[in-house]
Amino acid sequence: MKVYSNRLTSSRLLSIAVLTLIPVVASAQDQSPDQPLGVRPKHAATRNAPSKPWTPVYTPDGQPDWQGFWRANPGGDTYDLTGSKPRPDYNLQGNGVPKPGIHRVTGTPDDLIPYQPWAAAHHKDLFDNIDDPTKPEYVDTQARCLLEGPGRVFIHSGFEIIQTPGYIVFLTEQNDEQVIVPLDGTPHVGKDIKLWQGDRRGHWEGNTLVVDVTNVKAKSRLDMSGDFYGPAAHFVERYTRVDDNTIKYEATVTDPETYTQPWTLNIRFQRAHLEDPSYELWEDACHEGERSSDRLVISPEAAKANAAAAQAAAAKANATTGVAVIQ
Amino acid sequence: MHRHEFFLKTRQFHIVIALIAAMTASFSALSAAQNTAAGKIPRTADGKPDFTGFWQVLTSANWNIQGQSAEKGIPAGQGIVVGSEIPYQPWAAKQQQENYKNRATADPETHSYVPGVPRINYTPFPFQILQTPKKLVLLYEYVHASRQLRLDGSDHPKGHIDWWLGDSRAHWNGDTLVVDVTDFNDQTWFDHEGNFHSDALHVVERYTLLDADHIDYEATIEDPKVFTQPWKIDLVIYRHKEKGFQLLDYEGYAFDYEQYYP
Repeated sequence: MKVYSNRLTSSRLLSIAVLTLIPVVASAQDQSPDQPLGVRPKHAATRNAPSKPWTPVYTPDGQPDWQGFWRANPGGDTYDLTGSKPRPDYNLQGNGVPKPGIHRVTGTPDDLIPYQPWAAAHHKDLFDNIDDPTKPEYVDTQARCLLEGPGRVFIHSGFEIIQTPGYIVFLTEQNDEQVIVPLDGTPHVGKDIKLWQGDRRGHWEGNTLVVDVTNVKAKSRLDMSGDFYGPAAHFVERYTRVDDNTIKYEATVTDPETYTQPWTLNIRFQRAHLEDPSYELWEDACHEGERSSDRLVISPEAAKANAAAAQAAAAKANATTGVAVIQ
Repeated sequence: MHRHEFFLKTRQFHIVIALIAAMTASFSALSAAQNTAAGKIPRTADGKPDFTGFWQVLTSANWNIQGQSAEKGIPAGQGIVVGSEIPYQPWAAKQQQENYKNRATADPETHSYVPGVPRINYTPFPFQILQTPKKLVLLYEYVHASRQLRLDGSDHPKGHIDWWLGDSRAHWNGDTLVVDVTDFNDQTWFDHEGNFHSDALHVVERYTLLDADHIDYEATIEDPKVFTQPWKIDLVIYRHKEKGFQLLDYEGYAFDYEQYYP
């Protein structure tokens, strides 16, 4: 059983604030009508719309027609894919009540990512240092606007599905990522080509889209808390339309260099912006606006000072809440 | 009278002449360009020119839209500016020279920033066009940029919005796709030479299939803060014909960070 300390440090607040500020700022279009020009009117959330069965509609080339806007629900937050690590800032957002973690990993004995020992050590090193990153590798990829890649790309951001003959394409709102899925059954690109989004080939099995993802560059991380895969990773994604408003996503992730066994990633997507038929995907120039990711790296002296302050704060907090332990 | 002289006076001859004239007229009424060896232009189910596919330019305009001699590492190239002069206001002509001096770091492309419109169409990287009746989706390999050219009759949003790639609203004019692009920031350049614009930039693009494998791409550039009058660029975009061609990726700003991950 692993224990993660529940330290609340100012630099962790800063790093979490920076990491969460990016989606907040980029969602300026969610503001109310009296906001400045260029910002679209507020729309009601469709997150928990009542489900009804889906009557299949097909594109001209015979694909189930899934076009439109979707987002992961629950989603947005890419702090921890496993839902196992406590997140102190939720205490700030939730008026002192910690939000439960979102458990997306199944198929392993403890519903955690089954790292080989070397990989578990690397993951622990990353997680232990996200509060006070003293090296560039301790800064999460999302903070640098690096592409999210498979597994993460559909958790962080809402997206638009576009279908044309032989293709289904997902375009994200955050960071303008492109996930292009040819449906033509051609072979993958050559094995020496490594791609940030991986290389995808898909086909339809009735109401399920099956996508084979290979050739991953594996420079993206799976989440902010240091979960990762390596260049030998192979994702097999299954997207199933379960009702009018919902797509269920399950991906089996195999990586014999990083994991001891395959595991499954689970995400649920729901329709978004249904009440606004004029809603459009707009530009998100993440890298162009990024100015501070290098400044997240602090000196060892500053890290020591932060740690001392955290000790004091934790001692105070332990008197009331104790140290958080995962189930 | 010889037989051929007799023929010249007959009704048969007049009919033959009329037929030849009619055939010639109908042949030239078709756009000659669309009936070349490269084949007729592909069309969608609703009869519009179909731009679906993979495209890339051969011009060196990304370095200098006015044309240049070769430099180390940069090929010589003929320009894409129609009339070859860019009508800068006097202050702007000086600014361009300043940009030129600082281009090694001042060119936003050196930071792998999205290169703006129209430059994004003539970088040395391929892009993919997907087409539906409501929009064209342009997916660029260069820093995963994308544009949607909206054909649904919608207007530009209430502006001004400072976008890197502007806002694109399109309509058909015969077989030409006309795209009105507004709402730019002032951060991009037209090339590596420092040719630039303000946030008042307005671009009208015209995409016309010369044949199945070539797009004639013309863009009218208008910016009352920078230029004394509108000016145009014109270039050819070529279809990728390789079997199995697809977009890869070019994450320019990620190269220096790759060593730290995953």
